[in-house]
Amino acid sequence: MLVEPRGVIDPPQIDLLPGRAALLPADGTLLVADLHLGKAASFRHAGLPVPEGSSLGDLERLEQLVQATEAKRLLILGDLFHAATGCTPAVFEEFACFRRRIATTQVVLVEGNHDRRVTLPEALGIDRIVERLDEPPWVFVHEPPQSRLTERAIVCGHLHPRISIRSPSGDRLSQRCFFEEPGMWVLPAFGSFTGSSVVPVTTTTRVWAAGDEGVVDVTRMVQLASGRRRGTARGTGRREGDGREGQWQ
Amino acid sequence: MKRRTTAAPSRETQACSEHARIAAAAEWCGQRGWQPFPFQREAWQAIGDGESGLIHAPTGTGKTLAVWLGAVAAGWTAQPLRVVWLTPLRALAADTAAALAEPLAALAPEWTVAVRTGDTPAGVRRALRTRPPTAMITTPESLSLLLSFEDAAEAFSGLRMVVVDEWHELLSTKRGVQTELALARLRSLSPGLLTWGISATLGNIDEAAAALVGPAQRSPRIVRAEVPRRLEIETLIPEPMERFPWAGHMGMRLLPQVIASLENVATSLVFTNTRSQAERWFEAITRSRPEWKVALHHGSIDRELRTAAEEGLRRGKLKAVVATGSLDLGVDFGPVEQVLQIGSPKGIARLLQRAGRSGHRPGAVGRLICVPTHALELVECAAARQAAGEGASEPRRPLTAALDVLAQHLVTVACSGGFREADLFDEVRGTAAFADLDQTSWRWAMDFAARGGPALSAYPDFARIRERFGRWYVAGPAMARRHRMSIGTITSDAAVEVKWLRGGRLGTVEESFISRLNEGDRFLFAGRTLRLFRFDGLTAWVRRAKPSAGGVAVPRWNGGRMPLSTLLAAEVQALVADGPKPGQAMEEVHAVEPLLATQAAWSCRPQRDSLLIELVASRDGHHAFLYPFEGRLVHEGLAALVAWRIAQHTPATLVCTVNDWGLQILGRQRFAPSRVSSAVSYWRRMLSPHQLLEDLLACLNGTEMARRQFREIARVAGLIAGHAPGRKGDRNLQASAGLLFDVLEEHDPGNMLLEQARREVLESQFEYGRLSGALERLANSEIVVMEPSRLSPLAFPLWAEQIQSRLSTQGWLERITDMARELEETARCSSSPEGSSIRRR
Repeated sequence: MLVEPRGVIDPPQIDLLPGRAALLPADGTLLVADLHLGKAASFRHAGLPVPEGSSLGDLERLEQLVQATEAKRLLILGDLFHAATGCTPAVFEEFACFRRRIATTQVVLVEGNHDRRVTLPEALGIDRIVERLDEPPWVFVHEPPQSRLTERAIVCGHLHPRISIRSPSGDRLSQRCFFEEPGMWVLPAFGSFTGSSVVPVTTTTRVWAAGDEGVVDVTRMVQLASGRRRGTARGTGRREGDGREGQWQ
Repeated sequence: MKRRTTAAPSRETQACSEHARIAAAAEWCGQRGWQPFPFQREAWQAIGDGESGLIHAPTGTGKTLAVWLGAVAAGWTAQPLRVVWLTPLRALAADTAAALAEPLAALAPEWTVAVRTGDTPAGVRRALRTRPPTAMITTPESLSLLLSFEDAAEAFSGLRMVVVDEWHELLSTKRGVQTELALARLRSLSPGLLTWGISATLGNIDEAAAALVGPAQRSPRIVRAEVPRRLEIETLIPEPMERFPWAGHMGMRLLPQVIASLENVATSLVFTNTRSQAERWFEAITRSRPEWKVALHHGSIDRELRTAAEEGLRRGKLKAVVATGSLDLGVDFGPVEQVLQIGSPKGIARLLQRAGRSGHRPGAVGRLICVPTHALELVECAAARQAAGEGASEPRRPLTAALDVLAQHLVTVACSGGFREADLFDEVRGTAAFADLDQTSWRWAMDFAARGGPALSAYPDFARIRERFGRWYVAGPAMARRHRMSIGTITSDAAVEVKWLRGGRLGTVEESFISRLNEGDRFLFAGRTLRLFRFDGLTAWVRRAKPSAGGVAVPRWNGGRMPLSTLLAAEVQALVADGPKPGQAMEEVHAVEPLLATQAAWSCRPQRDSLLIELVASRDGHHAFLYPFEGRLVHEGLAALVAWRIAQHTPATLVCTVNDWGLQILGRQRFAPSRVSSAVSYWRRMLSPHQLLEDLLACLNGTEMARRQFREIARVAGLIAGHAPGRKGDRNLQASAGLLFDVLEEHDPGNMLLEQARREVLESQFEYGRLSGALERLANSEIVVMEPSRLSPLAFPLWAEQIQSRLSTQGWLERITDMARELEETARCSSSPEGSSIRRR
């Protein structure tokens, strides 16, 4: 789904892809955020028996995206790795292996709060590691900054956004999402073993449900549903989203 | 009384001195102005004879002394840890300690009693470990913790008796399974140990006793207290009945009548079914009578505030206390003259338990008044009143094969000096809960603890227990520490402390509630109107706010709603179908009669041996209402099953709601044929008992139910990190149970905890046995399909009910598109004046 950021002079386009990634068609940059590789391993390290498989699965998915979009550059918006205790040789090797399979693509990591606690070896094959990347009209960072430049579009991750909508007949959509405030884009967490939290929606927010099969603009649905919740007696009688991660609940 | 023998006494002297001790116990009672009941003497004798068993009796009949004086009279020397007394609630421990200490001065002055629970300060705990008391009062969780210490074998070697108080409370829960495992451990550490349970009356008392003493011990002694207590139970009839709502769960319409009932009585206990109800009723009562001294008591309120309420009640200083189940158990409060029950009691045992909380002054009568919250609850009140009068009581089934609890227990035992696999296997199979445990499940649980399950065999970074020279030990001191922090089976949502900005605690609410409030929002908690000042993730800082009528949020605590018991459900159906039997005075049913007449006029009155189905179309979509009268648990399973079968028939997204009387299935498109001839055969197919298990398992995957059940299992089995109370755990180790469920399903589908989640939904949640029985019954019933033009009185509460589950066989995009269209249509309709098609009465 091709969309244009608001509040930016001479807006470029951004393509929101199924599978929780985005593409900048102008220069072939594939964007993902919050992979949290090795999270299962860090759980096991602490004695919590979580099986492996999610990191490898996510890397395979990412490889398919790189190949399908023929991306020249892969830009990871932070939290590539989850924790130092989870960065076992096996996890690093999985990433290095993935890197070799997409040899012609440049890999850039914008450091996230989790990455800063991990020592990343050369052998991973990450071409550049930066704190922020300034490429007018874009600014790529991990965490949304406190103040925003109005003429730039900030692109970031970190928030693990999710949206929850309830229909009058009681169906409920609870799904990770992309969202945009004027001048700022937030990507959903790419990693499958990651949590998420509900986005506070204001009148200026635009929201897209990020499914594996597609991306759908749900801004109007969110507004209708929240108006309903305030306006009717019935809405208050039922339980609201219970904060659990999931797709359809 | 004291016995200091150097040589083993002969049989006769032993019997003789025992006689003397029992006589002393009886004399002690006599000094207090009462004679021991026959059942108490029976228990003393049985304990003296070295028997194990279970005492069951109504509340307030002297069960505690029946066991305790037996222990005191058994003639055990005052060594440390002779008796362990388990209580289900920490809050009861102090009262129990006082009750146990009372006779000691006269009968066994060298004995000591102490409390050791999660609330005990660290310094006291240390002192108790170096100098244990003769009798220790503790909870199942604290006992498991004690069993995890390295000196457990030595500490418990002199134990003679373990008493499980309020066994019926633990019985059908995972805490019961945990208790069974701990008891088996104690029996291994101290062979010949006596086990005694104290329970309220149950429908399956033999099964309860067997679970307590373990299957190895045949025919435990069952002591029944025949103490007649007079109880008077009545129901408040709303006046005028026509204005009484058809649905709802607060019941505020009856406030004036409730106030009138409180008026003439010095002290009353007002029981509610939920904590939110308690908050609302407390607020309403204090608002109408500000001059009355009323207190509020529920599980989320700070301990100190609760103690103050209990103390006020004990001294007769309060007009009333509004309470939830938090006051169901424990020492009786003398001054309470009557009990009010807001909402249907839902079960006979509960009704009797609560009624028994009143009238403890000599010669007094226990009095309970049922306060229905909506019209149809009148029938439930009538049914409960009648069944209680007939002396019926419900069973509580013990849980079996809870692998999550076993996984936790394995690490607990490994912490305390290790175990040999074969020995522990036998010990665990010695409990009723795991009597049928097979090698495969045991192997899996061992692998799960050692390697995290077969799927993790390749990961050397994981180990909770390790084998050395044929024994299994905990993997390291850090692992042991972490494990001790997470012992237990009670799952609670992340709790947020509520504190005054100026200092002082009020209690806890669930994080999901507080995170939905904004700073400055008002909410009702601990009987006060509060304004949220700041929420910092751990603590909600509040200020006092001006109370006002509207716009105040009430926290909702997650917690299962009590289902109507099978016994009552059958009574209710009979009353709805036939009305009271000749000669029965049933004012409640009489009052509901006009409503049932409306039901008959608009649709049809449900009859016995027939199933009424109502099809209604509204702006919300197409509704089907079914009334099997099987209680909400069975209806949950039935709704999921029927919705799944419907959606297999035609792709659809369906939502279900249930209550104790029936279930609703709601879809956007018409899903059931309306022509009577084809409708009946359609519903027969949907309700067929054929392929029940296959269909249920398939529909479990299509809904959230197994995933929801996994919350508790993940915590107990140690998939979710435990952390010290009041502190956030390691942020890097946070993952929701739902997320873990997905990861396991994807990457370790053979994990037996997933299997357990499904089984628990089937057995505990849907009550599979009852469900299949219900379908068999429905297969032989007539099916009556009606198409009323509006919601009938029976349908209305189902329509207003919270959504229980959703099920979809539509594609992702199609489903969103449908939702969007629906939202647009609703927005268009509600902006036009003739808005909604269904209006609340």
